[in-house]
Amino acid sequence: MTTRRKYFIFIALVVAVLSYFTYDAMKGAAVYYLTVTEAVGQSSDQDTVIRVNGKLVQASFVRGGDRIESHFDVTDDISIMTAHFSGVLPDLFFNENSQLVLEGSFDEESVFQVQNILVKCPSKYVAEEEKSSA
Amino acid sequence: MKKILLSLLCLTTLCSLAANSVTSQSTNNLIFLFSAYLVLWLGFFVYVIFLKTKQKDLQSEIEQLQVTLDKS
Amino acid sequence: MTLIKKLCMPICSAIGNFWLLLAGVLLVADLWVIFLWAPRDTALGDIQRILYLHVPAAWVSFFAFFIVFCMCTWYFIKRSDKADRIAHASAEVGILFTTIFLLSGIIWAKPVWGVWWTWDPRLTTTLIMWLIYSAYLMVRAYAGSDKRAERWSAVIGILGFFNIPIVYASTIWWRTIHPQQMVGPASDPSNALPDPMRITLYFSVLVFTVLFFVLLNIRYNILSAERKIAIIVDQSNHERV
Repeated sequence: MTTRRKYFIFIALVVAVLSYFTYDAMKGAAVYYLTVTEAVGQSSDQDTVIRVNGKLVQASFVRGGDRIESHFDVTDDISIMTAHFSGVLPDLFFNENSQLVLEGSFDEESVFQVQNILVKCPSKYVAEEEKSSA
Repeated sequence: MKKILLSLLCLTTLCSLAANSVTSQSTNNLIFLFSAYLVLWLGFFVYVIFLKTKQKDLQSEIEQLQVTLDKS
Repeated sequence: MTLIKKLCMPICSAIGNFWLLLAGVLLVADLWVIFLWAPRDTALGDIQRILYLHVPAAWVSFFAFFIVFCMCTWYFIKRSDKADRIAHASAEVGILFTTIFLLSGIIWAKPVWGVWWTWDPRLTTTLIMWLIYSAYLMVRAYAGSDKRAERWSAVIGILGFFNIPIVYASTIWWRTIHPQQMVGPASDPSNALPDPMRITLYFSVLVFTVLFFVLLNIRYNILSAERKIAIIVDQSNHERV
């Protein structure tokens, strides 16, 4: 095989991989996540897995009997959506400055069945006060 | 000598950091912090070793050239 | 024992290089500033300190690839061998920093976002950047000193650069899980870093930039020496014939 053919094959491979990644990233939706309002608008669609971004309604959080199941609401200040998750919650889940990105799909009762929780943490960093007692 | 000094400095920094962190709040995330900095240092070391190997290859090539030049 | 000696020898002699030693000392000083001087973040805690390696590594990657872009353009204008070698060296050091930047991001995402990787615009475009410059280096590695390969890689070096503004602006243009810029022209003043954190970040950027130039210089010298040797070997072969 000539060196030149090797480049061609190699570059073709890279282009193919890149296109696949781009396609995979854009698949399903042109955006990384939907707002709660947008998601609620398509809650009748139970087959597609989507990502939804919203803030946790702190008061709505209820744990199931086995401590693994959790039910909570998320909101974008316009609409509210109920979600169910079973698994370990991320560290910053309850932080009032963080937002959640939920990956999952709606069930028949329009409850969002979460497969994966991502925490979108605050962009602003705040220095901790010096602890004089430490 | 320089190397020993450098590794000592590095070690002191890491130890004081570890001591500093253990005494205060949650330590479960620290493994991630350490691995990130480990990746940084390992990356640099591996690259420097790579550069050094290249340099050695060059050195031996020059020596070989010298030998062939002397013969001719 | 011999294995350890074999591993340590190159490091020892490399540290003999004054500039590399200076960069090493600066890097240790940087660690001191990051871990012992900079304040802890209220929400994220100590893990936030990854910022001081993640952002400078990103900055150096962008800068390195900008140099690649300039040198590849210069190569096309002047057909200069020197520009070609600088581009090659800069791309290689740049990919080292991009790898560090990507890996530190992955390690940071797990404890904070909850996943190692997600197909977010910022992450996806950064991975594409990594792949473009890997392709650049592989073309170089496979083609050796072939003139055609120099032109091919220069094309990748120029076209690939157009991805970088996209990587940079991806958090502004699209919905993303990645935090917004906290320093620089595109940053939102309401996200401004507290002063001690900003100073630490700037210091870290400075240290990484120094380290970049030191590595770039060493790599460039090696490439030049290789080229010279190749020319001499070529000439002596010619004379013999």
